[in-house]
Amino acid sequence: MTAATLPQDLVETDVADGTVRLRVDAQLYPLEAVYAAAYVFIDRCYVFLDREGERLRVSLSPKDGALDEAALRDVVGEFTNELLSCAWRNQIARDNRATLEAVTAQALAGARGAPTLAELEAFDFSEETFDDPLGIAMSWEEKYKKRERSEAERSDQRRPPWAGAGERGGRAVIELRFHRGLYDGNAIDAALKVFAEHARFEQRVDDEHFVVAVSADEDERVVARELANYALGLTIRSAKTGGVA
Amino acid sequence: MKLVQIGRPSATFALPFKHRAVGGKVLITNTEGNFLLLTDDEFKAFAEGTPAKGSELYTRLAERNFVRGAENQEQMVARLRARKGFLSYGPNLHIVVVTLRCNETCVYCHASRANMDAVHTDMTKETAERTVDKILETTNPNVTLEFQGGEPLVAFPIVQHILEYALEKNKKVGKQLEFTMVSNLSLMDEDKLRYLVENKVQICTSIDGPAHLHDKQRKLPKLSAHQAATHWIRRINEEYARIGLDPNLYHVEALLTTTRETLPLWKDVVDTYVGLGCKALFLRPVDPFGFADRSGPKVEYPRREYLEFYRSAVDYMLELNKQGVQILERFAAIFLTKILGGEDPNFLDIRNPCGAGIGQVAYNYDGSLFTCDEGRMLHEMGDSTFLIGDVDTSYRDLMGHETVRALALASNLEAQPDCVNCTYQPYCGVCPVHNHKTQGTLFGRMRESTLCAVHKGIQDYLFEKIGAGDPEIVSILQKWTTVRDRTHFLQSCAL
Ligand code: SF4
Ligand code: SF4
Repeated sequence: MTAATLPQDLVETDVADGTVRLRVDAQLYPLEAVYAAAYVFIDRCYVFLDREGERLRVSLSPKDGALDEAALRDVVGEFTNELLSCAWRNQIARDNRATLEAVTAQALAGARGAPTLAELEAFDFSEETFDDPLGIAMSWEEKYKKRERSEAERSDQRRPPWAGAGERGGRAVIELRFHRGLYDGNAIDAALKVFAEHARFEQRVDDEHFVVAVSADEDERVVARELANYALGLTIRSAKTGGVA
Repeated sequence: MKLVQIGRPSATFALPFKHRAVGGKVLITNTEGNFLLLTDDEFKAFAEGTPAKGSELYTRLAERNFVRGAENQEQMVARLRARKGFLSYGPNLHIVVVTLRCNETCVYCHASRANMDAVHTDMTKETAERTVDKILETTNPNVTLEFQGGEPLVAFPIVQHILEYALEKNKKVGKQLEFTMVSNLSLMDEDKLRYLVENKVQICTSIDGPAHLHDKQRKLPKLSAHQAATHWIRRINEEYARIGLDPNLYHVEALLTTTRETLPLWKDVVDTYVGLGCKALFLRPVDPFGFADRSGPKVEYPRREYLEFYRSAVDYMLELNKQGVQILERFAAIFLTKILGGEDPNFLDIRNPCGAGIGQVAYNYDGSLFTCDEGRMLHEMGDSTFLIGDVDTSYRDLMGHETVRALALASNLEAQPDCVNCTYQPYCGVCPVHNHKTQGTLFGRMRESTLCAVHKGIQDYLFEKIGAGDPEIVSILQKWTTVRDRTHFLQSCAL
């Protein structure tokens, strides 16, 4: 299926905002797969997740400022392919876990060789959880370096599409609404700490969302979007490892 | 394509297998890498579980462990072990970039070269020594140290220092060492040649095909790059013969990079290689690293066209072989060694899992270390994803690096949609660096991967040839799997 033929009720483009929204059936695609696909895209898009009844809503705003309909549809087409791939891979990794663990363990043990006595003495056995010592279930992209953004990307000033409008002291502020079933509250707290130097935040919780009002002297929209990507990244990591580091 | 009508498939007759229609037959393979090419009727019988015990078909299937209850478990284990033997050892290939400087300018330069005045991109003696120290820490008893650049002859004193330091240090370490150098040869002279031959350094160069194409794609100031390279290929081969080495085994190896302009010239490319005394030709498609990324639109092409090129070139090579000319295609030889030979030739880019970190390490001029040379090339393009440390990082930390671990996992075909069900899985490999560069994810999506298209297309071609059953062709293909070791270049050091 090409992006152009994706059903209208599943995909909605907002050209003015540079955003495309995709509705995903949560029964068909496990949340892990949505997280994994979202993560693959956070170096090229601002990604935001939300719920709409039985469906998940994924908002993608390309960082390179792609603003025409065709470009946005390409992005969502690529995302749906990645999503399907992640969903299937998730299942395969589960089915073939024993083989994957055996081969990876043998490959790493063969390459590393036996530890030295000094290394054994220095090893802190309390350091890692033993649930998944090889990180089989963990997507590396989730943990490690995504591409650094270019200056042009940093200075992108477009408004986050998922943000509700708020007002403070007569001035519009950006409100990020993180769905409580999709985002980890601790991840949001951790993200707010990281971004504390760049903006001021006010938080509240409603029935469904953690709501964060963002105000910054400069680049408010960029800060808000980066914060949202960061919170998503931490949420995904915590979903895999069982806690925010 | 015609479909085989299966009545009621048997759930109990066959052991797990994968199948694919190839050249009018149905190819079946199993995990241990056995294969059979069946006619439609045979496949139907196999799928329905009807072959009678003792029948010719049953025996053929059972011998290759396709029949449940008739499997030979010892044989299965032995074959799997032979295919995965490489998992027991660490990196064997160590690529050392002694400088980024290069005197040649190529349209697709993968190494992201630096100009000749960029002397700061020469490796220092100290870094060179730390690099060798690190290399000799590998758990692999065999070490291939490959000098690369840029152009390694630009920094020849560093090449000499590394070689001499490695030989000296190896007296205590006792690895089996092999040195190779990838050079455009234009800065070669008799003194350097004498040194390289005396010290048993294998020399490899690039030839893009006939002179006009080579010179168009690889520019040397004032000189013809083709003339320079071919002059020295002949001269080096002469030198090997002079010291008594068998020219069938000992000769300069050359590498081809297939660009859009190469495609119609398949015959000229093969003739050029044969004319230079090369016994192997590696029909590598251009990849997205280095300058090839920027010059992509000029040099790139749809993989369908590449596969047509591949088929024409290899058909022609097979014809030449029939006439007694010795020339093999490397992709074919790699796959055939696994398909017909039942072994893994340990080609690091078509391995499961691939050799990133666990099979090779690339050492940059500044002492930074990468999972593989392709990872280093991306670093030169501004993406340091595959950086795993530097010459001061402990060896075990390098091998245990999360990125090494992630690549071992991402290149495991058991974790890949598509590959997991692909008939070619026992022989294939995927490249996470390529996936990362082209699709933004280490795992990649094989349906959209140009590398998968190439691997699949080549294996289709090979199985078609095997299935066609021409005994002369099958015997030539078989011969391509039995390349003798070049023992002259192996340097052991008794402890
Ligand atoms: S990541 Fe790619 S280039 Fe690097 S070793 Fe693996 S297959 Fe080869
Ligand atoms: S890379 Fe392509 S050809 Fe190779 S096993 Fe995977 S799907 Fe098959």
